[in-house]
Amino acid sequence: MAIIVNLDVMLARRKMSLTELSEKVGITMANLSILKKGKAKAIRFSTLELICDVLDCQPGDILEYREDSA
Amino acid sequence: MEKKKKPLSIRIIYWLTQITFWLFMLVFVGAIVLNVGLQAEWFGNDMQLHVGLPVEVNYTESGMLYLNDMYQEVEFVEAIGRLHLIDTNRQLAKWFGGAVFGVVIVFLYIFILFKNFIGNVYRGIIFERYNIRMLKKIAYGLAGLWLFTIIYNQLFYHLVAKQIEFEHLEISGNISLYGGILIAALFLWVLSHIFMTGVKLREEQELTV
Repeated sequence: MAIIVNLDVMLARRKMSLTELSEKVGITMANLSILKKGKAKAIRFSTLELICDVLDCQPGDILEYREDSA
Repeated sequence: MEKKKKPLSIRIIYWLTQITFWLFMLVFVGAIVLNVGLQAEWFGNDMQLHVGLPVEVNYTESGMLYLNDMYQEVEFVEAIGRLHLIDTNRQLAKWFGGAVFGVVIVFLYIFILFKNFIGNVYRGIIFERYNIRMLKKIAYGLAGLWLFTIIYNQLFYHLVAKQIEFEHLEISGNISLYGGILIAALFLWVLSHIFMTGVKLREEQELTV
């Protein structure tokens, strides 16, 4: 997929676990895991806002566009 | 946890399908035995085979219709019937046996898919990819059945029906098209596409964080 989710990188930088993030943003572990593994098909602005707020980062720090190799 | 009761309509169609399927399996086994018998020439030359005539016949017969104290003169003009092949020739019997067996196999394929589809619906597996794919396969099966029937009817008309001479009736050449089967196939095919779009939307919804 062309959109890469760098949630694990941001979590490592902030030294935060997925469980902790889940508790702080109020999103289930299952959903955050889908996002972290890059299996999500879409992300709500509200979710992005919550994650950015907790991790103190920009949406661009979590999402990255990479051209598909043919 | 309280078990959710299935709707009556689903239960009725499930059990009807189960019973009909196993009855059809008996017919299928019978068709295999009969066809093996025909191909192996177990039967003599005195078989009394009845085959459907897929072509309309013209026949003129006058009559009277009595309805609500009214008399209406009527005339019987067109019909579809069956042929009785008196003391059927073995070669002809083999030919018809093979054709009927082909139809039975396509029917069995459709029936197995339908039984599995209804079984899944009964178990609450409805909007799942493999269930929708099964619906699509049923549509293809029906289209195949229609094609098979059309080819069979054309062959029957040109090779058999055209060669028959009757004293009082005439074979018209209006071959049955069985358009209903094709419409049912197209309807199911369109339906499966609509359901598949629904499944994709649901999956997208589920994978939206």
